[in-house]
Amino acid sequence: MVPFKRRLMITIGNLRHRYGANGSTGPVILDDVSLSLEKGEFVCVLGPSGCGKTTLLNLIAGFTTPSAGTLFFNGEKIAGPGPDRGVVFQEATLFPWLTVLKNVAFGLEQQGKKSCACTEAAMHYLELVGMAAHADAYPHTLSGGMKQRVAIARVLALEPDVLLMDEPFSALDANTRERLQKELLRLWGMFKPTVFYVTHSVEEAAFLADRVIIMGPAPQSIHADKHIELAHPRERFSPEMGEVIQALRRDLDTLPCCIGPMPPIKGEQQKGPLLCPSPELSERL
Amino acid sequence: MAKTILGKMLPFLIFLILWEGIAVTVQLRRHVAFPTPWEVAGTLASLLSGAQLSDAPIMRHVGDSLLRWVNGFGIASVIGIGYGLLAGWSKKLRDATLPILHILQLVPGLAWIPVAILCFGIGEAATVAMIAVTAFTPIALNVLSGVRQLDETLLRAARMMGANGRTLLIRVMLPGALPATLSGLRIGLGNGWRVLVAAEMIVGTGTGLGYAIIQARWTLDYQAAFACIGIICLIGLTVEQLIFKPLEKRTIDRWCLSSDGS
Repeated sequence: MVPFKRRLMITIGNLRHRYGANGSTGPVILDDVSLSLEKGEFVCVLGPSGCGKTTLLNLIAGFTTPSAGTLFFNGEKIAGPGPDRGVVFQEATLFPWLTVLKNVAFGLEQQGKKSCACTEAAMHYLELVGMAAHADAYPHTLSGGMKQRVAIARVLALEPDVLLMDEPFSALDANTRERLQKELLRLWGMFKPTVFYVTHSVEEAAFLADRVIIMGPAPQSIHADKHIELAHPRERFSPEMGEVIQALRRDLDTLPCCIGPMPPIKGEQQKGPLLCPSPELSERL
Repeated sequence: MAKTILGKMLPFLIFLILWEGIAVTVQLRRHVAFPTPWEVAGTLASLLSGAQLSDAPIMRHVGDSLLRWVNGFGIASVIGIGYGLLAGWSKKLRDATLPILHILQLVPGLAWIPVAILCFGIGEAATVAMIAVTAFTPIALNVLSGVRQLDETLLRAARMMGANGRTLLIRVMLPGALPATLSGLRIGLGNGWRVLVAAEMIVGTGTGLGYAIIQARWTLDYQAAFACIGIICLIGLTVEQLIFKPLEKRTIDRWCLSSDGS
């Protein structure tokens, strides 16, 4: 039992989360979520918007505390954010007042390293993501893809056990996105962190993940939990990939979308009262 | 090139023409010696070359005023920035103290005179305290709103990397709130300068530009009074050009931070 348990990185038990001032008044966003992530696993979380994917990520990161339930990381209760769980946000969120190099060194300095050692290590990680040539540039001079590369270098430099990624490439153009997905897989192969990757793209999940968790709106928070057996590197347009994507799509299709189930479309002449803006107007009609 | 220089001089020229016009009109209508720009320039030149004003050379007045102002504004900046950062960080502190600042903000600078005299007696300390109190509120409120407008994910990123407490305040909130801080310092500087000159007129500091103006008025030396007002404007312009503009260029412009704090 013990060696098996050690492989578990994150264990989530009966987690429940509500919005609101003290987490007890607002709407329930996560209900009874139980989940465990193994060491070195690449997990993608798919689901319609508003189903709590990002909330779950923020809870694991320690930015917010759950209303109820347990949340363990490496056998310890998660009490707050820390460098052992690196986060890559949707926007790069680099510090605009620091150069690229200093942005990466910032986290290293917090670990109490000497500044020269930090600079050296930061440069190493910038080389890994291909951004060494821009070490002295300020973030506002970089493109979105370049900023996100720096954000990844900044997190890798912390040597985290877990990489939490919140739709990190969704704001980028398709070409850059695919390049960065490949590079992410390469870096994952080098460091083998556990990756918890939130996305709304079925193709992205199928290309990246070992395991896909499909979330739905509460109370049905975890809808499906599937393993993808395809070996890396994967071919984006192979028939096997097509099958995986189709299967994921079918699962997602059974979930209500953000506005709930669509009402059946009625004939033109049947104008319901809901479509009229005011009673006076409907009288005139 | 010539065009840009002309363009920059234009407001100055319009101002001089207006002044000359007003001076001539007042002289004709009211038969009093309203100083013209040329007379004031002459007085200014003689003052700068060492003529005495209220028993002291003009540079003594300028120096004393600047010293009071630097002291008061320095105290206001340190306390204002420190308070703004802490109150932006801690909701408890903010809830407990922010209404006080909103009330302080409503008190006109000169209304502090009785308070300052009661606390510190007549003299330097009272003047410095008045400057500090009037400059403090805009600085503190601007720093506070700068911190509050800071992108939450930026703070989350910093905490994720292991930053907390002092590092978060000094290395993230302080630079992040810099655009708002600079505008707060600008307002504080203006407020402090105004209240300084006014306080020197009333508190009876014995030296300083405000004191010199009021003394010149008693002795009907309006040209000297106008010259002192001119010096006050010049000092303001110099501070803007030598301190604020370069500071802005080296920070906000270089980092491309917009002034709304995002």
